[in-house]
Amino acid sequence: MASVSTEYISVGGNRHPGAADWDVESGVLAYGADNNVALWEPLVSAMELVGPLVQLKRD
Amino acid sequence: MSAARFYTCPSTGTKFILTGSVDRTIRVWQRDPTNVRNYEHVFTLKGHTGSVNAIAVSEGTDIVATGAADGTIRTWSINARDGLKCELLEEIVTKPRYFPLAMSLQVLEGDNRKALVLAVAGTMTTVQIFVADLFDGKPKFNRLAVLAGHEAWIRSLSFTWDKQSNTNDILLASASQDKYIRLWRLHRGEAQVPAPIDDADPLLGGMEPTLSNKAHEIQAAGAKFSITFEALLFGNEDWIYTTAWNPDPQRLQLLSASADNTVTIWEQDPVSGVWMSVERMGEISVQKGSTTATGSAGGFWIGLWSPDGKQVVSLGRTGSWRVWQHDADADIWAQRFGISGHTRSVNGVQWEPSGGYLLSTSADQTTRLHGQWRRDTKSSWHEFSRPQIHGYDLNCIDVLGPSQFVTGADEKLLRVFNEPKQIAELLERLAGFQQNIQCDLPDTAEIPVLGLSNKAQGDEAPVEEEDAEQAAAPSSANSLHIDSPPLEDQLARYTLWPEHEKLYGHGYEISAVAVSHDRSLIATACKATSIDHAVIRLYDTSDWHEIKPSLTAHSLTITDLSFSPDDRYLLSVGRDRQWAIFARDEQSWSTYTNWASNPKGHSRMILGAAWAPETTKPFFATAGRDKSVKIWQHSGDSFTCISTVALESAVTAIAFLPTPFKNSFILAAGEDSGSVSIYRVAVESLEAKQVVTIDQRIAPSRAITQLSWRPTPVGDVDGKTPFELAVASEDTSTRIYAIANITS
Repeated sequence: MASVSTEYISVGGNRHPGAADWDVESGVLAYGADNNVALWEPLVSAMELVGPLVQLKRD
Repeated sequence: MSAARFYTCPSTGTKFILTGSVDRTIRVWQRDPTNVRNYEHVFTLKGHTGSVNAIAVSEGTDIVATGAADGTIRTWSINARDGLKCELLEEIVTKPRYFPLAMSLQVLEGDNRKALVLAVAGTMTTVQIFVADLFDGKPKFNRLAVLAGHEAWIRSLSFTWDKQSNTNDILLASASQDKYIRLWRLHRGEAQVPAPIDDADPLLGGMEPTLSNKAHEIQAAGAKFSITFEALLFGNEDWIYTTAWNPDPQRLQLLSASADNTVTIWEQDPVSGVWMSVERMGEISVQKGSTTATGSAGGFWIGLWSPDGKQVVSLGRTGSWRVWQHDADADIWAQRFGISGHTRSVNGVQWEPSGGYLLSTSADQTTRLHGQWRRDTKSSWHEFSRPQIHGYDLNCIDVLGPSQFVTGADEKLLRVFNEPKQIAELLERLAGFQQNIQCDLPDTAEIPVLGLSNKAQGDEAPVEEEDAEQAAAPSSANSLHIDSPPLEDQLARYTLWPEHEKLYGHGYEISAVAVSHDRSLIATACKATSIDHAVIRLYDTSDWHEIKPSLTAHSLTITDLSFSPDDRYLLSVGRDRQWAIFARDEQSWSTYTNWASNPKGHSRMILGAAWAPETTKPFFATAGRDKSVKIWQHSGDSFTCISTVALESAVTAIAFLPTPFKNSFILAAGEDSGSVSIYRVAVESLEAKQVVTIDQRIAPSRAITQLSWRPTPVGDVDGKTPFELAVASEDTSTRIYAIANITS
């Protein structure tokens, strides 16, 4: 079975002051990227594991 | 999406994200219990009749508030106790009518009762305070106070507990376009006598903002509260967009992000009690050109704290997130690399010929270079260079070799760029990408401020002068001797590739470009409504002259161009539903003549064309707005349609894997919906069988504009390493997917 995984997503944030939040409990930062929600873990990149990982969800 | 907040349901601990959008709805996303980065859309809150601009949540309550450009505030309850229940509680029409741009919600404790206090502000100069007592019925918010003082619209509100007083006071920060932040104290009990404000205070520097000592008395949760003006935070030179309190329970600090390109940390001086800025981070730029290339950072729109309060991030105009980390030993905040991406439709994506890096080009007027940072056994993708910062929307791109590319934009000419040696060195050091670094690679380019401030007079875009600026300032040349991916500050200005050549000839905006495999020719097309303009113009890459005559066949815009693997044929497709093939003259390598065409290749316009990696019996695929992919094979003196694949929506992009694989050809097709699917095309029959469609949850959400398979060295194509596919989409994302087990 063929399988597909995302290796990299590059997407800029929407320039709207309210369009992002950094969750204290999970460390995930959600920001608006066009009509999607990008989920970024800034601290994971700080630990240099696989690099910042971003997942997008449709808005 | 214009507003986002994380929300935890107090009774179940279930995590949600609430997102508000210009589509007037708020979506509720529930977190997957097994993955903190996986959320599912579970509900949509409808009702607002304008863009949603603000969402407020608070710990300890299942009530959330939203504000929209319809001039109303709505309160909702979101509870996951017995299955998800989302209910509209109240609709409050603002009086006098204004648009809420900022809101903050806080739970207030009385003796035996609780209340909610909601601060709302926006396109007015005052902050409105609403309170709702919480009891058994539906909570109803009453407006109890109006805080005056600001002199312009208010963009941000944030409540916090005063961690330094032991009176359970609440502080409210309000930030405005008047460049000030005001702090207000909500104190339980009789109105406090506020600290006298000394107009002669030297810190105010002779300014005269409105400073009022008025105490607002309100009743909430069965107790008396008072709200007084507490402090004025000044120092920003432009609008302030966001405020956020440090989540660290030990520190009372406020972070503000401003259009003056700084984020500032504010703290109260322990001795004098005066609020001062203790740290300012960002770009202090004197020059004010029109793009980042000439010094204009464009303002910081959002500033956020990390959960432990030791990092802050900010979002700038280029769509990039900057990161600063607090070094406790040295007590400084140092900038680290963040993440970045386009902010408008990504219109083109192409790999460097050996797969060493990826270029993307966008309607946000930038071309970006993405590379793989390799260290030890780890690797991750980052933006390594921003070769082009333009003044027009970019439409198409192709590579001319490992250190040169050409782009076409909404202007009449194309531009060729050369890689500077600093970028080649950076890629070699961090991405392990070996190039023959010839001594004649240029320095990074700079654009002088004056080069951009002139508006275009004729055909010439205002952005140019890059080709004249070969001498980079020593500081910018050295600034790329770094051991990690470049910072946004460097990408925004110091990684430009000098422009080598401009290709003139077309009369309208460039729509398509393709470089021959032997790199001797560039085929180009522009937007057109007549046969005279819908021509293909060829350019000779040895002297950059146009090869005349131009090639005629189409009557409307050509949407895609493709050279066959041996450059024997040039294929063009367009809005006129036609495909046309031009054959290379055997004697004259730069001459192509009309060879075959099909005036009705598809029943609607053709948006993509790609040759299969096959030279004996060549064939190509076309992608049509008629939701089909057609495969055409050489037969006699033309090409005939051998097979057709039906898809769900208009097919907007296609690409063949550059090498055959296990007795078949691999084809990727992208659609208007964002869907991307992979097919195996059998060698003999050319029947296409679907292998996989990228799961909707990880696929782009808008039309695919281009697909590009990463070239792999021939020896590596063994089926064990996954193939990589770069995808460009109108949803502003540039993505790389790894596709494994294609033929098992």
